[in-house]
Amino acid sequence: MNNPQETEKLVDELHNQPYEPMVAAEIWLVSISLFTGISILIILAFVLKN
Amino acid sequence: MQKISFNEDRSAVWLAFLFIALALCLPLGVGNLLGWVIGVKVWTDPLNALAPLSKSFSHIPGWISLIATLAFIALLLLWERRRFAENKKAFLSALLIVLTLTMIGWVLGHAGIVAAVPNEREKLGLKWSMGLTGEAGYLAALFIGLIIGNFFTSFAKFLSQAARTEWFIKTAIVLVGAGVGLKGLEQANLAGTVFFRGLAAIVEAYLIYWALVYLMARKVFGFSREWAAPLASGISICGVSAAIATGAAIRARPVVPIMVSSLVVVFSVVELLVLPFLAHAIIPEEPMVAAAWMGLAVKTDGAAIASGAITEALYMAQGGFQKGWMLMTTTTVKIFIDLFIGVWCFILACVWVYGIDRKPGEKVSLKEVWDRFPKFVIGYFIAFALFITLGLCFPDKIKELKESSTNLDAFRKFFFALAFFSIGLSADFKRLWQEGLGKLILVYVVCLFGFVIWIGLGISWLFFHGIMPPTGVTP
Repeated sequence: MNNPQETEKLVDELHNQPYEPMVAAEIWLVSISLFTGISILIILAFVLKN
Repeated sequence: MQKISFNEDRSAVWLAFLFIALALCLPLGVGNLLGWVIGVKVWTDPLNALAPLSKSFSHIPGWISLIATLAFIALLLLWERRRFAENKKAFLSALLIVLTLTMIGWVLGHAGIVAAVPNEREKLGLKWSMGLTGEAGYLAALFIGLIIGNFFTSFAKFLSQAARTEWFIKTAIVLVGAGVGLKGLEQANLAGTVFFRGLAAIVEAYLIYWALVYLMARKVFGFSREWAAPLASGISICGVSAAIATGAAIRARPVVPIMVSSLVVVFSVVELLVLPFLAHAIIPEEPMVAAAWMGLAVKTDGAAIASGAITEALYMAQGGFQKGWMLMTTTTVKIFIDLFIGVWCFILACVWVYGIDRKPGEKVSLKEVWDRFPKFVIGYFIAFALFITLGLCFPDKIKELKESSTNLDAFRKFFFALAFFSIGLSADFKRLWQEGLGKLILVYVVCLFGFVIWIGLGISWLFFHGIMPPTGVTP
């Protein structure tokens, strides 16, 4: 059933997200992803062109 | 005595494996035990919308297949909740209504005027359509849920006992594993360059797009982790399945990935209508680059494959290429991306359990990790591995395995639709859309048009530049 309080909370969240600093795990996840992704693409492109 | 509560996670895995076991009776030679399940087609005449999924059941009228499908799902769900429903009769009544209304939404979403993509219009005799693909059925189910949730509140309260969003979502995700496993196996035999490009697509979608969208959502737009992760998966991977699976893996509230998914479905229409023509205008000499680009940039499977077909039609008119090559490239890129949703959810679930949800200084035992770990992700892996292994060990049974997977896909889609209906019932989505969607749309537009499509074009160019489909008449 429609819960007005929950909806209110969600709307408020979308307008004004609570400040949630990035923790070490997130920074690691993003950094490793980008580093690995770019490295693999360079290797794949190199292998394909040769 | 401690009261045992209903574990949706575990129940979803069992339910999905029951479907899988029944589906696998076909390649095992027992018979097509799920071939009678209802298949919904894009329609202009509602009488032609429904038919049993398998051709071997084509003699059965669509309405019988429909009733059998709803009754079968109702009995399975009732059996699963038999010990937890306080009033079984009331639960069954609510469940039947939920199933029926969701099916109505699913069928309405397949109406030609809503679902037909531009390359289907001629066949259906339509001059214009919204082009939302069959996935509009999710939005229609959501809309029906919304109407009931907002205007018939006591009825919604009665239905809420059977509208278990997470239960439906998790069951569907395990079923995704079965379909994806087999599709991956089919694509593994493709020509080296296309296969290679598929690998590059996985790297792009998961390691580059996801990380960049997540970073933008968190740092630039200030979204919390609960919103940023499903948003990143929805924009960078493959829309509905990825957003919902990610939401479940990080234990987000169900409304979050459903809201992201509905946005993805709507936006995929914009991509479908713009990108094939943009590709043809800016890279008229590079049909394979354009085809690969569609697979990377257009979210949702249906819209991506439709964009591949439109792209192929545009380039074939000019170059006399053989039919099927460009569409195959788009499909391969898209399927390769879909393949790794489970792996990515597994990684995210581990990062969230170990690195984010854990309090500072807290030691998490292996048992706690197991308790917190979403079991449906493991179910997804088992289903994925099972279908790949069976396909590899019994190559002569691929056709039957494919049919089993198609049967399971019908259940997967319906369970997703049930989740959308349940969310509509429980949230004031209209208000959320009106007041809260602006910021989500902004992230979507900035990420998609800011870098997702351009990186996709650049890397497609790098890997497909100069490769042409064979010319001449299609053999």
